[in-house]
Amino acid sequence: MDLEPLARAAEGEGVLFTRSKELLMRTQNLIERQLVEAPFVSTFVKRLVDKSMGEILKVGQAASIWPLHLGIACCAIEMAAMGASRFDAERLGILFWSSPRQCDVLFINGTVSRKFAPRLRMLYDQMPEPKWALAVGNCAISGGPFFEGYNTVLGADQILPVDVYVPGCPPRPEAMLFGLIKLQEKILMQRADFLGTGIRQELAREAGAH
Amino acid sequence: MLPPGAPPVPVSTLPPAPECVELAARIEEAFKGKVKAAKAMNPLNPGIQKELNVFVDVATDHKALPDLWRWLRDKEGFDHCSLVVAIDHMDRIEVKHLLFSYTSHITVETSATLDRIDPLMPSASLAWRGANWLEREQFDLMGVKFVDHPDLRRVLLPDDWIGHPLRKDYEFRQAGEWW
Amino acid sequence: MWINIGPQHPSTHGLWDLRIKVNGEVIVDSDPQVGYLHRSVEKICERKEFIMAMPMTERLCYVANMNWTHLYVHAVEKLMNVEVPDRAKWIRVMVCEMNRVASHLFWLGAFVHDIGNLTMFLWPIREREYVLDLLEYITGARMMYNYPRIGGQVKDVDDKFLRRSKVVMDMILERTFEYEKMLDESDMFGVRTKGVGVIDRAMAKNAGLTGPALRACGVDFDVRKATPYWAYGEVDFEVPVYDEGDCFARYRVRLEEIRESCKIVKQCADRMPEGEFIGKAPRVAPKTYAWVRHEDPRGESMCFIMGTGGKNAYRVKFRSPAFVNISALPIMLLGYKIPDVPAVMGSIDVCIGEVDR
Repeated sequence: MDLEPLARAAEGEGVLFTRSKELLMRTQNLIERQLVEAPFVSTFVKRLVDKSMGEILKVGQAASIWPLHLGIACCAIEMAAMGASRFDAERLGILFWSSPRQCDVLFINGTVSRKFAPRLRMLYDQMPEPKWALAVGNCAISGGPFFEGYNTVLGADQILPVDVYVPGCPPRPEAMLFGLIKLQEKILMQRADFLGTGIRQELAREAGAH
Repeated sequence: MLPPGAPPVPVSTLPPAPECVELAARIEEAFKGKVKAAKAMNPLNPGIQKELNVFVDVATDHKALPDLWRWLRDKEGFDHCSLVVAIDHMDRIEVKHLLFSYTSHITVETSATLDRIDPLMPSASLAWRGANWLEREQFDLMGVKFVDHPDLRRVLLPDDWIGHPLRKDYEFRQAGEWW
Repeated sequence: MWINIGPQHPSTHGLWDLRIKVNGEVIVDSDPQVGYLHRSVEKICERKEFIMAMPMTERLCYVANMNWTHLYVHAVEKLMNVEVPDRAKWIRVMVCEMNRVASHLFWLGAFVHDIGNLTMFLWPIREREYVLDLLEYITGARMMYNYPRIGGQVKDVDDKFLRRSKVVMDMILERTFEYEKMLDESDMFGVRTKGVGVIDRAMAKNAGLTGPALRACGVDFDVRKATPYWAYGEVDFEVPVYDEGDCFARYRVRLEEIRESCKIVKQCADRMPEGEFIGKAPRVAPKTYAWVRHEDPRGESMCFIMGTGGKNAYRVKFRSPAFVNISALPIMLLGYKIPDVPAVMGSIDVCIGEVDR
């Protein structure tokens, strides 16, 4: 379990940028390896395949988001209502899935406490790339009404990089659906990238596509 | 005493119910000299909630408590331990156990006074299993150590937490923390 | 061998960890771990004024908000010895019972979802949306209502709300017969819940189990009947009691409680007295203590509050029924198999916000 970001946070260093540093190093290795491994395919063909298949891949990713079955606090009830009869989330392609190894999105819907923070980070680390995180509710954005608590982490972005923030206490299911649509737009806004999927998209996102 | 400008403590004009008076008399008789006071409480406002309360104060002498609890459970039919609450007055810690009887609907409140530096008192979880987690929670948050509790460890906070947060001298965010 | 079920698991409703010790498939011991959502509500309530601390209590049990806010306000009123007008008492009974219906419907959806019946997840949630619409009509919010004030309610209810609530409660009453038909006649549901998670009477009383779980063991104890508060002494309702003590009995108790609560709401809508909906209340509380006990959808909840003589509370303590019900879970799981765990966990009806506070 990667507790190094938390240790660094305890010393006062920012946590948000650790992922991009590790990804940067991994990506550089990958790019070098790819150029070495595929010498007979011309760059033009590669770029063509990247763009066309990449667009299809992005649409596929955006249209079938599988969130993790994680309910932390009050916002989870509104999330369950969002997935149920009236505000049907399945029409957007959302399917709640229990195993983090096969999920795309982590909804952080509730107050993150200091007891749960390492487990949340572990869940996020277990999810394979590409992955996104959605901070639902005021508690996940900044600690919410419990910011004075001794056991509260002031926002989920102290622990993991968050893509979309959905404010509210709790946000209405319509607001959560709007947040999901924003996430879909963010996915579609990425650089179309088929051959270096995952790592390149991560890098693009963190380097400034948002 | 009360701070200046504070409202007076409301005094009830209604007499206590007869079954409470009888129970208080029985407690006094069975535990003569071992409990400091046993009193049937006057109902404050019947429009708020219909209830029957008896207050037993044990003060600092806790030896009578396990016997009292077992007597209440076996002889008087108090099957249910409702609430365990520890209050941090600045010079002492007061622990209240509220016990309830399903048949007579009387609530007995036993109150014990503990030293603040090393709060020890007997555990009611030997008489009622329901008090087990309630006492663990008061140990976790206030630091009250229940002697001969079968499993006294932290329940709400992480196991490596230092300090007992609900004490009055616990700072919200200890120095050096920022998250 | 110890296995962790949770804190992320589709059938742990909320964030708690059930560690079970198994011998093959059979459970020999278990040790629930809670506290992943400990939000230090009691400490925060000491810093805030009474009415400012009320939204904290709302977030305690987020499925049954009205019950918990009214519990806290009731305790403060008892501390200050404030008289609440009649209309406010009947309004309180009405909204608390509506929230009990909503809470039990949500529980039903989540419980049968774990057992495997996904249709029954959608039906109760659909009914619950109608109840939330009603509560949104008077309070303006779907979940965090912020409705009571010390001495009464913040807003009055009007005739349209009373008429609509009768219609909605009639509809829910009819549909509970559909749920009953779907589940009672289902062999799969019966096999997974009948005889599973049995706890006997004496052990249940001693372990502090309260609420529907206790009434499913044969103990006829309901705070609304034993020590009535507000208008519960004047409303006509029955308390369902079953004897078996297994998951099926707990489900039956809650289903019939939905029906009884619908009847209570309809009676309140008919018999709502005229008058003020809020009384006068002081801003400061005396330096004494008070406690009240309520019948929460999960059991017996209490609020103990001690005043300072000023605007804040000195100590606030909430007794959460689910906290003690979870501590009785090891008794219920002994000797059963791992696939029985979701059924038993669900049948206790845990709302982690109130367990961890």
